[in-house]
Amino acid sequence: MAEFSSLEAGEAVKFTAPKAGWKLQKVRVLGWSGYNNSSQSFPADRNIMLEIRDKDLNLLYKFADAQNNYFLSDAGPLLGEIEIPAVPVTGDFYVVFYDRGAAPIGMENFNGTGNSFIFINGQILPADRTIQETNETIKINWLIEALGK
Amino acid sequence: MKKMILLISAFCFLTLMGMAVAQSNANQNMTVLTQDSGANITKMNLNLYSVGQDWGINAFSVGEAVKFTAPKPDWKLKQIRVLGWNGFNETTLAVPSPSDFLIEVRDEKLNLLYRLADTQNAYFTLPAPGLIAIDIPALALTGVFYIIFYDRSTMRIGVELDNGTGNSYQYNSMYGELIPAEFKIDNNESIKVNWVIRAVGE
Repeated sequence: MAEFSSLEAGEAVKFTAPKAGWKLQKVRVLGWSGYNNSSQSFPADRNIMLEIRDKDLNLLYKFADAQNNYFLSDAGPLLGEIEIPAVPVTGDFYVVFYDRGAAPIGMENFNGTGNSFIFINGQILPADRTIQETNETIKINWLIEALGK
Repeated sequence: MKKMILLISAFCFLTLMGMAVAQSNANQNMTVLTQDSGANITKMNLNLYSVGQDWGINAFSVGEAVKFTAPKPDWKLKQIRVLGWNGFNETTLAVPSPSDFLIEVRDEKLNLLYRLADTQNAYFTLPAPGLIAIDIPALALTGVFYIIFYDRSTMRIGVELDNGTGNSYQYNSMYGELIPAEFKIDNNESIKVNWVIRAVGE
């Protein structure tokens, strides 16, 4: 799981619409808002944010809501589903999830496809990690899915 | 769509003495659509309700829904009014912990058209329950549409106990299911109730 303390940084995944005018209707994110086994309590509500951007990073849709409504679980991370009003997209588009430290997101450590990024201050940067022993940089994948028709 | 009747337990009723009716600053030319009795709110037989009373932890995914019909094609919904209260204590000035409610607008087939989440305290911190106006970007609507308010147990909304019009539901977003809003009364009889949610537009 990964999170960014910076409120400006989001985990972004680039997708390609399967046909022109394809309508994005849901986004799924593997995440978790946490659970305290000792006190059997959940964290206080804090907002996460979701953005849809086109291939030029123009904003198409934005939505913020409390993390517990999507990622509340006493059994660890879950694939939280966020429904959105249908957003027509053509060609490449980005789904950007801002965890804001409220809901760490699932990260695949190997087999990076090169389609996961960090979006911060208008810049899109590759999402990767460095193996300390070898100083090797490895691409990672955010576990974000786009659903539509 | 699976049909079922929800018998909403009608306990924890609150007295609404001194209820505030916050005035919105809506354009005078706008039309207000009501699916409650339409009576003056101060004269209604009202109580407050939260989905947590019946749904427990599943309350996150259940909202109070009202069905409306746009008065003409491409009618523009511009404002939503909800009778609600966050339980603000005017004596101690204690404000509840901030938490988000959610509003959705859906078309006749329950396709999602608009969604807004925001903190309850920004709207419903009042000495008593009040009819609060929430502006939204103009949304063109034709025919039947639904406004759904998810209180998420962070606040309560007004429910009219008499004159049920049959246009109030609970919407379970997990299953895309509309359930008639009914209260079970003493003799095991069910009565239709009205959520006090109104649609304003032109």
